[in-house]
Amino acid sequence: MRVAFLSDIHANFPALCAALERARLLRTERLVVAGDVIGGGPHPVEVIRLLRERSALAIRGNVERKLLSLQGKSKRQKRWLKRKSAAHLVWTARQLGDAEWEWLAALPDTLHLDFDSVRTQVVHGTPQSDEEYLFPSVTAETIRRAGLDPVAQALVCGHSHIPFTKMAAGIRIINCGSVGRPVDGDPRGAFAVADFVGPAIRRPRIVRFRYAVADLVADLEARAVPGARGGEYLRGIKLRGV
Amino acid sequence: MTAVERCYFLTGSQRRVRDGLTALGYFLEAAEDEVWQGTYYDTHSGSLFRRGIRLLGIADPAQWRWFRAELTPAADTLPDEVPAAPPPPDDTPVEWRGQRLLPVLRLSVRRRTHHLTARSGQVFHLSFGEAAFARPMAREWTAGPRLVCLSVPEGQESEVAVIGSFLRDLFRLKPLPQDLLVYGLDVVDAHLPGAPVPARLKLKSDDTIRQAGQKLLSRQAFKMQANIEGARMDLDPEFVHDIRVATRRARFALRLFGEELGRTEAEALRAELAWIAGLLGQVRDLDIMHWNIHRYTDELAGRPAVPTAIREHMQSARNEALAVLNEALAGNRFAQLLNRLERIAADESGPPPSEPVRSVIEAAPPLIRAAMARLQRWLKRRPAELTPAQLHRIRIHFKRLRYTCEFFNDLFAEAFTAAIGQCVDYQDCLGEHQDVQVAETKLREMAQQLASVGGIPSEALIFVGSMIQRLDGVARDCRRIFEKRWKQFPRLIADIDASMEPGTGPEAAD
Repeated sequence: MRVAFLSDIHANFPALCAALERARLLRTERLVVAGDVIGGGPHPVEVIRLLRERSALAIRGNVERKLLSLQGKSKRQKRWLKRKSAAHLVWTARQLGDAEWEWLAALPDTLHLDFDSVRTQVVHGTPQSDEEYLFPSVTAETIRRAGLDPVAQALVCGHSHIPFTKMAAGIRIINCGSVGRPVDGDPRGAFAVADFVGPAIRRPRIVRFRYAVADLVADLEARAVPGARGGEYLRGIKLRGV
Repeated sequence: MTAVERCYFLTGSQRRVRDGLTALGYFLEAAEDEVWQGTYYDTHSGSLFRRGIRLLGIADPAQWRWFRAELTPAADTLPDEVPAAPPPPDDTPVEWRGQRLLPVLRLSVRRRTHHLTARSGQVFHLSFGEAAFARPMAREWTAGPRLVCLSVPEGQESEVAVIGSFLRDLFRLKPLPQDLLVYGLDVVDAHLPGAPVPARLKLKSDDTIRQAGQKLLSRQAFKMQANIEGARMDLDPEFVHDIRVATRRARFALRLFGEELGRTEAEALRAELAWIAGLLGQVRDLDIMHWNIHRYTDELAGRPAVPTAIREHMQSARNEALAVLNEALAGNRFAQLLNRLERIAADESGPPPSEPVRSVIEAAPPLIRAAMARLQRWLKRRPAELTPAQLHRIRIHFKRLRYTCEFFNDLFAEAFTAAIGQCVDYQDCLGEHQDVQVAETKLREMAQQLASVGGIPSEALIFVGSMIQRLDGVARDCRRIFEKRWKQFPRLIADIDASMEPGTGPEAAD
């Protein structure tokens, strides 16, 4: 079974469409999304509707968690919402309809999937937190102490926007990178593909793809997404903290 | 009907899009098949177009209607949605809110419209079809591509944007680069409403004088081309006026940049431009006279009607002048003139420079000062002693100063805009004085002609007499206004001088 692992789409619909088209050409059979589906980009509604239509198996990332917390109205939350860095979340929340909120609320924090006979755990950051990062330098020791599903043979994550795949402590680590907001100096989107054959994971790999960045930048402007910087997408870098 | 509409080129099958939208949760229902022809309207200056408003009239008596689309809804300030009367069946102009709306482009549509219902319950129109375009009153249609168009009542733009993303990114349909009107005008190779000058013809400070002259000449050729059709169809008197203005400016540009563009050809072209300017002037003078006579008649005691004999004579004179002009505009001589203008504007070889090549930013101030100096000479004369011919001469000098400032205004961050406005005031005042002179002469000629062909009715003779008296009064008023304004002329000179001081150029604007 060939599976496409996507993460950190960040409401970039042209990138998601290009990724799905590439995944189709690669004949992937399942679609798994490791969180941060929305936030920062101009197309939250489109992205959710398409993932729902494609029956993607998705988890919530730190962005979805924060967004869902916006539905509460505590004083602390109201204060937090006034911060400039929260403006894009407030904007995103305003775009969503009931059906999109419902979909978001149903997302789990983590998934334990069996592809053929390979147990795979899907998280956003690490098994312990959706705000921690797994970088290519991750050690076996870190993985051992990460609180992983004890029977998992593979760990799929995102969040860092830096794609890689490696073995550590006998576990196949796959960081999908970012479909919609790459920051590794390569403006092309990224996702991961792996073949599950019996008890083995074969050819886990990172796929890079081009998409219509100009359309995205135009939409960021047209829809007045707060804090959006087209240059980041054009250059594939992060100019300031997310 | 007010609506926001987005169109996409349809590639592949309709079914792919319909099924795709259904899978995404939309409910599609075929509503109606439509076949209709309509006409886009706008003012001569393209004022609706500039505000993002598109006005389309369908004249079919069984289903006449107006569609109004707004590309930028916030920009709309017109209180009335659409004209109340049906669109004219023959593409003739429409009067609306004191504006004259002219046909801009004809559109023929064959399409099937679907009701597209979102999960939220909002209903949109999604149509699949074909469009063809034609210039106003043209018989031949130019077929356009297959299109998918999405329209929605004003106020529901966000869902349109979502569906637009699906069409563009998921179904990979290319959006129409502009709206249907702009696209159609491009298909039939027609200019945008108001014929805005293309950005490539804007002067840059590092252009050479020759390049600047070529761009300015190209602008005038563009304006002439853009107005020929309207002038020939006599859609609005302003088309003749605009070609005339472009002709004058082209002549002046050839005078100003003659050395750099090649003196011999420049002089030959100036002569040809004078020929067409003369024919345009014949029509324009009669238009001005027509308006003035009606305007001044309203001011006469008892507000008499313009006598039929005078009205008919003026109309017939205009028809004759227009027929001559039309023949000229359609003829080889004018086509060759435009070709030569375009050739000289595009010629990259040109005559060898007689002196080191200077940039236009260096060359502009001396040219503007020379234009001012020609007017300053007249300051020595007492305005009250100036003859009508001398006032006309001063008017021409003002026009040249204005044109020179306008030519270079881009280079000085539009610092001359106020001065140009003042030049226009002088020009208007002296222009009215000159128009009165022309009207008086023409009225006298008219009375003589009418008398020579079997007598002039006494009421017409009395009218001519009263009108000439009134025109004399207008001329005196114009002269008085000019004399008062003329005292301010040194200040205008100082203002223009100050605008050319270092620090007002493009660097300062940055």
